[in-house]
Amino acid sequence: MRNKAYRDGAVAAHISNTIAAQIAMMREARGWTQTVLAEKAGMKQSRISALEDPNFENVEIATLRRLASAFDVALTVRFIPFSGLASWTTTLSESDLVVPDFSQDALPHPATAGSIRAVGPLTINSEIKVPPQVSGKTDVYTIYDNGKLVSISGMTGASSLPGPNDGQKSGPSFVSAAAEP
Amino acid sequence: MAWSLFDYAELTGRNKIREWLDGLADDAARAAIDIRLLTMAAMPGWPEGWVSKYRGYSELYEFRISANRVKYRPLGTYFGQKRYLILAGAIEKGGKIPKSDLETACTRLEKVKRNEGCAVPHEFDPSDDLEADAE
Repeated sequence: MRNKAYRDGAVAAHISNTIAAQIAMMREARGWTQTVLAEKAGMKQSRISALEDPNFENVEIATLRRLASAFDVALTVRFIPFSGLASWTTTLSESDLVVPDFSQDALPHPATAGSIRAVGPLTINSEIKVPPQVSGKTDVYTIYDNGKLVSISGMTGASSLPGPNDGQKSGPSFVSAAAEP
Repeated sequence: MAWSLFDYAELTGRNKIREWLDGLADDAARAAIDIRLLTMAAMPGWPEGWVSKYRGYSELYEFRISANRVKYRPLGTYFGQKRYLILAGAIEKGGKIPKSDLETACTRLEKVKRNEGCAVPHEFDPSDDLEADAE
């Protein structure tokens, strides 16, 4: 990325490609047609079709907020260093693109240790916080690793450690995880 | 990566897709193509608009990538389970891809069918080494 024109082109392409891919994949993951999503977001189907075109560049933040609300997911818009963009593009996986809605989200809370398995090519050496223990439950956790969003599928095991509603003070605990090759 | 991308290369080792990309005058276009390929490689499937079957050619598909009002149309074909082979670079003009580019893609596809050694993993330009920049 040592070339300025290349960097600027990468930023533009990243925005249009990621937005288009996420809208199409999240919509399909929910079993929605473009028409259904358009109704939920209060816009025309033709607009959804345009937004799912990876060459479409006129994406407005207000439109993205409406779509985030329709999908019931969060939306962040921020400036980042190019190393962050390079990291995103070179380690991108399906789990980065398909975001679970709020009901499937794993919000941070006091945690107990379990065993977790990372999905994707990443190796995670940093310590991460996991949600409360539920024996045998498979869940999807969204965490940050060195500033990059990483989605992890976790299979928790049996635990005798106190949970958040046990009436005992339970501070966060941590586990380390390594991705499968 | 959900998909593995391959380039057409001569048996001498010359990667013809790398040569096409290196020959593009617009650096922003090279970035747009790189980002598109990396995004598509992560997607489980490719919706219409990302890749299209080229009418009149039973095995040819085009990636539809626009940058600075130029329509880049890398031509390729599916090459096994979650594998895609880029056969030739092309630029659409007047709503059509030049026939010479289509013929080049078809010729190369026949060569790959005879010798799969003509299909090599897609390489990104070392001077735009995204993996190094990510560190």
